[in-house]
Amino acid sequence: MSSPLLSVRDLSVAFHTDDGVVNAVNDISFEVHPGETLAVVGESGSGKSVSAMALMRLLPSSARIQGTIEFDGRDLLGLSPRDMRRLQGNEIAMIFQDPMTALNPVFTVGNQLVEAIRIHNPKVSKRAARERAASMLALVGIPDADERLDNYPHEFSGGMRQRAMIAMGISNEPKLLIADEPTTALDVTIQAQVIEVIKRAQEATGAAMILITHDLGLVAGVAERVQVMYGGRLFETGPTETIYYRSRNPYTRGLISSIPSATARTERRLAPIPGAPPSAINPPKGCVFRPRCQHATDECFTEPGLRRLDEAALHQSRCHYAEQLGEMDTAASGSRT
Amino acid sequence: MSETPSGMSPEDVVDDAPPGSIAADVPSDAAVLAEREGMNITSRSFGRQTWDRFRRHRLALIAAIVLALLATAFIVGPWLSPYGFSERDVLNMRSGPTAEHPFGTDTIGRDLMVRTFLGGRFSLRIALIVALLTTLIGTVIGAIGGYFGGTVDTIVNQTINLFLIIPALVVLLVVGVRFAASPNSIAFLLAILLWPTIARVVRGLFLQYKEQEFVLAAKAAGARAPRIMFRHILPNTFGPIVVNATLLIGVAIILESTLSFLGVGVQPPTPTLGNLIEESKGQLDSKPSAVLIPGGFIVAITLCVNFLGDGLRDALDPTSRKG
Amino acid sequence: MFAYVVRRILSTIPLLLVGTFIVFTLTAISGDPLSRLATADVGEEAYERIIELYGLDQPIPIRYVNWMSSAIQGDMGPAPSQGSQPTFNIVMDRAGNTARLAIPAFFFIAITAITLGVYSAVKQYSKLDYFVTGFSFLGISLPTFVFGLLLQVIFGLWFFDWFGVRPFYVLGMRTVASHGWLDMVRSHVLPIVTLWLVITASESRFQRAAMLEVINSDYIRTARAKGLPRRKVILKHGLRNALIPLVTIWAIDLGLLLGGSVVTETIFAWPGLGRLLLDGIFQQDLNLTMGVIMVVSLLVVAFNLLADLLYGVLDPRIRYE
Repeated sequence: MSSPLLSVRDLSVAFHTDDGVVNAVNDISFEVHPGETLAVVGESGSGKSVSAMALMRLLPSSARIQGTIEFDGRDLLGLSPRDMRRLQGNEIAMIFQDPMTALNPVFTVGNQLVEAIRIHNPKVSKRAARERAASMLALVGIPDADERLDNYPHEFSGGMRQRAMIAMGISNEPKLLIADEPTTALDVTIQAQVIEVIKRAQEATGAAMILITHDLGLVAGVAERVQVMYGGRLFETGPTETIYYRSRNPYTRGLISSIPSATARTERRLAPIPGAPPSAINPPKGCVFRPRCQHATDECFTEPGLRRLDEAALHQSRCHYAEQLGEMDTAASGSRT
Repeated sequence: MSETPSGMSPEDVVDDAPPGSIAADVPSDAAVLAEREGMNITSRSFGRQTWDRFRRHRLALIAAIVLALLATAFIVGPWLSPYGFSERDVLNMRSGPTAEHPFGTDTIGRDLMVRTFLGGRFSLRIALIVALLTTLIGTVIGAIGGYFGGTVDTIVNQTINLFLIIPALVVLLVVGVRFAASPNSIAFLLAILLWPTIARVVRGLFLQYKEQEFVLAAKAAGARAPRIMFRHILPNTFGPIVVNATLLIGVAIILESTLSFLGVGVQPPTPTLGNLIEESKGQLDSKPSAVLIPGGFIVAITLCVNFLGDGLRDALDPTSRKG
Repeated sequence: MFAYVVRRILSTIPLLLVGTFIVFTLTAISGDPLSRLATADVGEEAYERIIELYGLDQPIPIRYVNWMSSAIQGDMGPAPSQGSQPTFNIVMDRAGNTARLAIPAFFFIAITAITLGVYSAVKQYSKLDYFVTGFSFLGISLPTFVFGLLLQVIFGLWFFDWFGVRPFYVLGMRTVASHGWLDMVRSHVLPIVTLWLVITASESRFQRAAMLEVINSDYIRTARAKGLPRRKVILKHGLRNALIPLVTIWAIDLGLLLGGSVVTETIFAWPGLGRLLLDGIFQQDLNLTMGVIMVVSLLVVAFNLLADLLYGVLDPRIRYE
């Protein structure tokens, strides 16, 4: 395998609040290779967004970040703010969750796209940057792109704004694109379109992508690998196929059974996981998923480590019973009593 | 304002003006972020959280203690003093601070310490009456407007708007010139002019709460309007009302003393802090202490009230924090 | 846009009429001008003339309508407390004196409030932030007249005791024409500082809150994620948005400042609109009181409208149809 573009080792993020220390991310390690797509899946509060923000160095200064993040041979956490800014929006770009608020309301879309281009390419003329911005908008499927540049964000629909955000993200041909819940805030009917646009944009630039989502169903056909997070911990990681059909983790299986399926015409019920995500200040003792897990035993009061499930360690799961869990019955995987 | 389609009319911005958050009451960015990311970061009861938040606000706690001390001094002080409030020490007229008269004496030899404490007592009493009366009137009218809606609300809302455009100071001056004011009449007049500020807050809260499920449930159970308003909704609006009532004490102290300073407040010989300044402002050159001491008390009271109000806002009304 | 302005003006008129009518009624019933104008030795004939001149035999609503209809044409009647000069001329003259304080005060307020607001928001929880918070709490708790008197004590009394000079005049207005540049400045400083403190105190808090809200917004995060330098993130993306509520407040403040401050002008013996209003009320001079009220209300209304329009200019989401 090629050398990784991004290599995260033992990343932990903690916040000190008046109520105590919030351990948002605990010792996660993963890699992203050039051009590949990694999906990071988890409920809100699982630490997936915080870890992405840590990659972008966008966390507030009160955040305590430990571990190493190596990107393209550079240690991101060690870079000076100035050097980091050279990467932000240039080699690593990010698309945020809510397109309604992520664009500055008082500047035109064109102004914000041109700014993104010229901040990293000061020699590009305004006119050339504008042309490039228009071609980016066209690429993400906005008709009359040139005229649309002069519109303000509020004159765009939600889906169009997210397209504009994607255009902004890829305008400097980044090596890594981080999409943080890019479709969550959008109408269900246009979610698929926007995912399509993201894929197209990624192909056009050859960027690797980290797709952060709480919707495991979105991942199929987009990501090569999936990484499931829960309570700030990595719970399972593996190739998408493996996760979908041979998951070795009760939490992942719960997520899968809560995917509404258009293909399964059977009476399969949507089965959301009962219970609430763990407190980040006082996590449950042992396995953090234990209170919600139907398989939990006394052994689960000790925290399980990540277990390798194949030779190459492509598939790993954080569960004492990873090997013992029965084969998934896809059709009835939601069957719980 | 129907002219501004987005519903963000400039008036709204002005109306929502200073949320008044002092540095300590804005939640730390980390906590905001953690909460935004859906992290469950607290596990304490509401009462406990309220107390913790208030206690964390050290300034508010100190302010409450200072206020209590001041009030005690105002009430007990005059009894302990060897001088009566209108007793004249003709040998020591117009004196600055001395051992016998720590605050000095006025032009006709009255002890200024006794008069300042008595003045503080009257000022504080007026301010408390204003705060209570204003809150009472404002809450009842605001609740009626917000709860019943429709024509009733339109009338309430227009009345509020009308009062808000009437220049309060002009009315106070015009009325004050004509009628010699007693502490109670001044308090009453201030309350009549100030109630719309509370009414607007309460009306907004009632508009918001009356659609909520617990109210609908009470209605379905056959509760009558007054019961729903005062037993079900009012307790939920307690926080913002208490905060605003506290801040009103400061507003009332400033307004009352300003009126007295302009010569149309409480009439002498009743001392108030503003009166004392008005009586002594002619001797600013020779005896500034006679102005600065009551002035200092006014500032101390208002400052404490504002800190206290801010701490209470943080503790009782955490949703008002900007984060 | 034009239609919007017309509609706004039309919709303000009823409010203005009701407001001025209330003040007119209160003033008219609270003072009996005859007691002042017609002392016993005036004689029956003069007495009748005064009653006729001021229409005192008419019911108050009629008197109000009469006064208002001539005021609209610029005739606010004579001001008996000012030697029966035309009220309009006196008011305009005093409005100029008030503007001498209002305009410089406004500039200082705008500059300091935005600087303090932005810095304390950007450096939240820093020493400077706590200082600004303390400053605004103190300013809000300090009644204008106490602060004005304090300035007089400091600069009129203590400063002289320590250094033997009085850097500023504590009473009265001096103009370039009457006293020269230096004295003009020396007489303007303290009243301007008084106005400045009172308004800046409450505004720096508001501006801090406005800026904080902007800084924590998603589009600021987007701007940072683009790799923009911090300075540009704050000054271009942050300030431009924070300005929207701020400019609105400024316009309203300017209107209030130009209307005159009763307390500040009283303390510093400044012949402006605020003092004139107080004089009118104390002298029970109905024409004068109403004249000042009219001008002040019109200023407030006009600057509120300006605030609205500026809001539309600054925020592209708002369109006035």
